[in-house]
Amino acid sequence: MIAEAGRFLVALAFIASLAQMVLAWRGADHGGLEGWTRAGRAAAEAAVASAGLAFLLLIIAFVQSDFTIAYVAGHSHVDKPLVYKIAGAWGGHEGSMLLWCLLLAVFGLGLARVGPREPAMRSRAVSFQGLLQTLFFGFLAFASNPFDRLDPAPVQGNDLNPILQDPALVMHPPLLYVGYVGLSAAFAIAAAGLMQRSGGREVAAALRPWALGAWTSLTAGIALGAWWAYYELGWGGWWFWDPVENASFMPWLLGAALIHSAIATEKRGAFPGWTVFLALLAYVLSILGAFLVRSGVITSVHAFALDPERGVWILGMLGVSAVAGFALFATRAGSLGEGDGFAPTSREAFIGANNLLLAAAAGVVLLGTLYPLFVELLGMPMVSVGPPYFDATATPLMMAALALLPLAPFLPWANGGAKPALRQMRAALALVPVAAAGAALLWFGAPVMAVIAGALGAWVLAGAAMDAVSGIPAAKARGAKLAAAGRALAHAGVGFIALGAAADASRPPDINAAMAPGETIEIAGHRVTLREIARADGPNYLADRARVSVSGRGDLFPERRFYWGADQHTREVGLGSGIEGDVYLSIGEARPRADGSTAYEVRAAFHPLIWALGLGASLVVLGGLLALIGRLRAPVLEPRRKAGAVAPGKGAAPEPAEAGA
Amino acid sequence: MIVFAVVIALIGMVGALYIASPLAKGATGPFMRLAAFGIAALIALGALGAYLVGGSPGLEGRPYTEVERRLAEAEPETLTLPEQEERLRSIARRNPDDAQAQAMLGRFLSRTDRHLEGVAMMERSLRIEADPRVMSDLGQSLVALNEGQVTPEAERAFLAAASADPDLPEPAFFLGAAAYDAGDRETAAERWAGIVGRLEPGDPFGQAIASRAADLLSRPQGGPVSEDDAAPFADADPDDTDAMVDGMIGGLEARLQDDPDDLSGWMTLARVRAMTGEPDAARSALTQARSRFGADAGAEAIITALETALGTNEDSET
Repeated sequence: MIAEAGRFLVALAFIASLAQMVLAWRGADHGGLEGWTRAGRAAAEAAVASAGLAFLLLIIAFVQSDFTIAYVAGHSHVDKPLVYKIAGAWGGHEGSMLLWCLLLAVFGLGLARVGPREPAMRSRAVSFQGLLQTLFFGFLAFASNPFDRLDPAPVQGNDLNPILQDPALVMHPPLLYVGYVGLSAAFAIAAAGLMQRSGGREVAAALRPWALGAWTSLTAGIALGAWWAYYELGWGGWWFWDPVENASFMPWLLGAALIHSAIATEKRGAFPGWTVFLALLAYVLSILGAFLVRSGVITSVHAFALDPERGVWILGMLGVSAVAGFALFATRAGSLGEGDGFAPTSREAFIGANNLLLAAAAGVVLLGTLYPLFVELLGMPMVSVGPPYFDATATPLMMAALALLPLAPFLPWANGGAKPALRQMRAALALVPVAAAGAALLWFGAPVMAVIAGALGAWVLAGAAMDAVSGIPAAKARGAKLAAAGRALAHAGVGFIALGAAADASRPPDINAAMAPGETIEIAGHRVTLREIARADGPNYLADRARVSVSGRGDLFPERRFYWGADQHTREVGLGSGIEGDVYLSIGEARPRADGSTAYEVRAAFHPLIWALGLGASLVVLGGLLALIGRLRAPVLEPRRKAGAVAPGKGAAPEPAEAGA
Repeated sequence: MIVFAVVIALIGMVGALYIASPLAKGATGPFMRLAAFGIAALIALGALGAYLVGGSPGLEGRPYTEVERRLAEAEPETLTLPEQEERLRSIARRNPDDAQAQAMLGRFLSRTDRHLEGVAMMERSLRIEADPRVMSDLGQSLVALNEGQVTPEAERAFLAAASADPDLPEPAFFLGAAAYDAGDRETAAERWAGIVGRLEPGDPFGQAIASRAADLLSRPQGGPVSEDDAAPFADADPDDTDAMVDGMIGGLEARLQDDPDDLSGWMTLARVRAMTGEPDAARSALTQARSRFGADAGAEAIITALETALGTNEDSET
């Protein structure tokens, strides 16, 4: 009964979303205050309750190992640990799509409860969110239902892909989906603003917290995914420019641009059209990501549903969302206003420049990701676009953005004036050549780009530190202090990421060796001795665990596992972390030697300053959360306007304590 | 089915009424009330319609505990292979300290060519209890896992099994095979003759081992000749080849005159004599072997097996 009840709840959520779209639209037509609006909100609540209950039933089916449900049979096994049984609910296509839909409904309810202050705009946003929900719930109910049945049912399941049976991967998809789906709220508000012909400032003020929350979660999801790839895939990479990674990176880049341009729009009325366009585009690119992952058009370690029919569905949803959003934009962007003027050395100008660089980076990533598809579509020989392209195109653009990043918080709004800012930043500017020389010396023989990125990382860190020192005390309200701290932390995080990426690009070559117990190799000054190999089976896998002594790091225990349910081998690496970096070990197959002894494949690597990446990502997430809390504590636009705190169209004094920028 | 119908009808109606109720509450006239009712009906019927696309209301769910109970109660021979495996897994899972339960699952997995898992289960069993039969099965699974090679790990398992129970046929056979692969025919012959002699006459294992030992021990030293090795002789004069074969047989005979305590040597001589169309000479070689080793029941059984295979015994001539 669980399976069929779940299926019915998915159907009910689909119909409730449809009702939400229609009723809230009618409510917006009536000013957003009548029974229609309340009915639209009730529909949003019903959609959340139905989808939430369906998701709970799916988790129960996983816990009970009910293999009459095709999705459970395909992604679970009786011997799988409970936490991964639960995580299996979102470990495959259908279950993750249910989670996506549930989150869409939650954001729909969020908009209905704490969305834009203007009632008609809020109701319209709830209606647009209802449209997005209807598309995805329809896809779920009719083309990707997680409650499809098997008759006869197998006695045992196929198990969840072993590389997904990992703590980081339990949280990676939910965080990523909160990011992707959170951008739908920004999309819905932007579309509602266009529909209602609201001003750019109102739209920017309404969408800013949603975009900031979504982008923060997307950052956390991407960071967890990169961390997982680093230690789980067995060769130490954390970013591959894989099409699916790019699919998450493009909305991230545009989300970063959006949260900054929304500040300029809300505070100064600058680039209102651009802000709304970014809000629409970021979510459209999120759906493009879903298409790339789930349609089978690309080959990737992440692609987990290779079904062209589903691809057509998602392409249809992408088309409807894009056409609806951009048609509205094309016809009603004029209502957003043209914004106020600003000097080339103003904060708006630097935010605009950084926005262009981030958008251009997203553009070249999009081109590199889709180019092989177009080539294939035209019947030309297949090509693959890899790191050389992205390193030569996207990386320089992001470096340019890094160069500008620390300056913006020190620049005044509107009238500008770079001299005071440059004077304030003398110490940080002086650090750049020192950092470059240091990086060149430390990483002798490293790529030039790595040396430049290292110097830029130091520059951004210094800028963030100076911003924290001057910006936080200057802020008066508690919310503003939090927001200033959030900005400094997030920018420092970006600096650490640049530093970590640069250091890792300069790492010594990996060593692949066949080692028998008692033998020693050396990597980056560390002696690595294989001591013994012992059995270390788990509940649903067999494992050989090596004990490896690493000088300065103690004993490490890399494993080679065989998951019998999935019939798949995996490697669990041994990581010896230290301030100068990680010693990274993985073991592979055992092979007999001519002398009768047995040797094991061992891969040893050293990743300098790799911790800087994790620290950087954590700081960005923490900064995003502080900025969001600060934003929620700050007075909203309308009362502030009434109080005259913001004077549209006039040159305003520098406000270093404001969030972002 | 009825319970399910009632449940989804309740859920659907509650959901539909919840959504439509704000309209009904704010209704200023009969039209709005009717609209609210219509919307509620549309929502409930729409959800039912969307559910029925692909829904299977009559299909019961089946948590694993139910599957486990059914398999436990079933007669094993009525179950399919995956069901048998699951039954054994279930027993092993519920009795983690039962060595036999682990071993049974291990044997089943090995029989279905999942040797890696079979080995793991047998090792698990041996950690609980050192049973020589399980040690022997472990050794055999290791041999199967390594494509017929008696690896040092498998040899250790067989030695442990043979030491704990010398009457087990499989460890002795595989230990003999390991010695044979290493070129030590004497040890191989001792191992095989020893176990065949210890088994009851007529024991099928004994007969099988004797036949296999007779075949292996009577093969000419050096193993089969590859095509590449034979290529230089392809164009050789047949007379030269015959002379070469005669020379090799003569050499073997001379060696046996000097060192007659070589069971494998006599058996090889008998085999090549039979192959070159000299049954009397073959019989003579077997008689020599019998005179040297006939007192050993196992060796006698191996010689008899070769005799039968070559067709040189008296029964085959009548």
